[in-house]
Amino acid sequence: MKRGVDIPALVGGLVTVGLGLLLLLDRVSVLHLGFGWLWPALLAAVGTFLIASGMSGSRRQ
Amino acid sequence: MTQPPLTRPSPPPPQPPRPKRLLRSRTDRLLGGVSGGLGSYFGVDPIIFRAIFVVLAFVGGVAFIAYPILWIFVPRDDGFGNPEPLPVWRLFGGGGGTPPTAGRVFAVLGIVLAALVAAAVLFVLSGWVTAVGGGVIVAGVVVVLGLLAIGGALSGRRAARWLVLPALVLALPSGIVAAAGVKFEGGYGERDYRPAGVAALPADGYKISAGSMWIDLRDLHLAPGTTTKLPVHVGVGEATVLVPENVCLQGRAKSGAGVVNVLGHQQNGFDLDYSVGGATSSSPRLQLDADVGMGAFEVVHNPDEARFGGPRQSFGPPGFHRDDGDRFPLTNRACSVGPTG
Repeated sequence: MKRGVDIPALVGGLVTVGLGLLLLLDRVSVLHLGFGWLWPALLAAVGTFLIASGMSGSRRQ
Repeated sequence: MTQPPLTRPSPPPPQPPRPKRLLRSRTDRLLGGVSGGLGSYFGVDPIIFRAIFVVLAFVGGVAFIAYPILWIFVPRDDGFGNPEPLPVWRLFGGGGGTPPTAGRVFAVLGIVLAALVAAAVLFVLSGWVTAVGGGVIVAGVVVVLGLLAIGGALSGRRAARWLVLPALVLALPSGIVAAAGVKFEGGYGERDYRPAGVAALPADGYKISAGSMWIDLRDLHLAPGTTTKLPVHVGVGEATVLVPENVCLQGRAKSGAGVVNVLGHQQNGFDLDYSVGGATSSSPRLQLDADVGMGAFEVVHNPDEARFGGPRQSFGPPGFHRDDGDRFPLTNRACSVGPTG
């Protein structure tokens, strides 16, 4: 049986790639990551993942 | 044969009302159903509790502690108003009314402990690798974990979402180190410098990766009208610079997170950048270029004015991080009034 796309894992993966790219751009001096960026970025990442998990869970039921 | 008289069966005695229980909602949920459950319990719209949690998230982050605790320890509604076994209980094998065995409890606790230790090691390692210049590697690993999670998600593997956890454990310290601008260069521990002249100043400045530095420049005897550069770098820790009162201090002091106190002008918090100077006199000038990742940096005239620790706390009154700076009104007078000595 073909398994469907796991939305939380997909969203989590996309968010993780985004965070990694943000770190990468800072390290190669394309942008400067300050605390003004970091906390919102991390909170948005965790929040997006949690909302995706929650919405996926409620849809299953 | 006579039939027994027909009697109407008496209605069953009314059930006593079930005591109201706080349960997480199965249906009205955005995350864990906590707000839905609270709304149902108190008979109000759950949006009120969602709004409260959002507000509490910004007021000291209380929601980040309260919500997960409620999520973990408030049982979920089984759909009929009864509580389901707590996930924590099920983790220990306590589902279906059977208590968990001691072996199972120890095994689960051991696994959890090992995972926490591994996460702590990963956390520290990621921060350290980033601070010594390997941030690109950490960022690359985070991206790869994200791509693996995407690949797993597209093939329907639910377990792929767990890859997000180590990625976050790696990204968080690396991000903090990057945001603070922490660079480990120049050794570790306590450093005490007292250069006797300009020739004794290191060409690339004073550097320390982690620890404390005390740089006493009161014996420099700078010539009037000259400018002497003073680069100072601290990865994590604190540095105190003592400058003579006849020297005009110029330049800037930056800190990713912590405290910057330059001659009594103090800044606290994140992304600090303090500029000083603007010389109009012929006083000797000291061009400061201080870069602190996380910690404290201060410039004072005398040891008694220093607020932070270091190798020579015996100079001042006992106490670490004294908060009596107002007793020492410092000035940068030499920038405007000319040489005084």
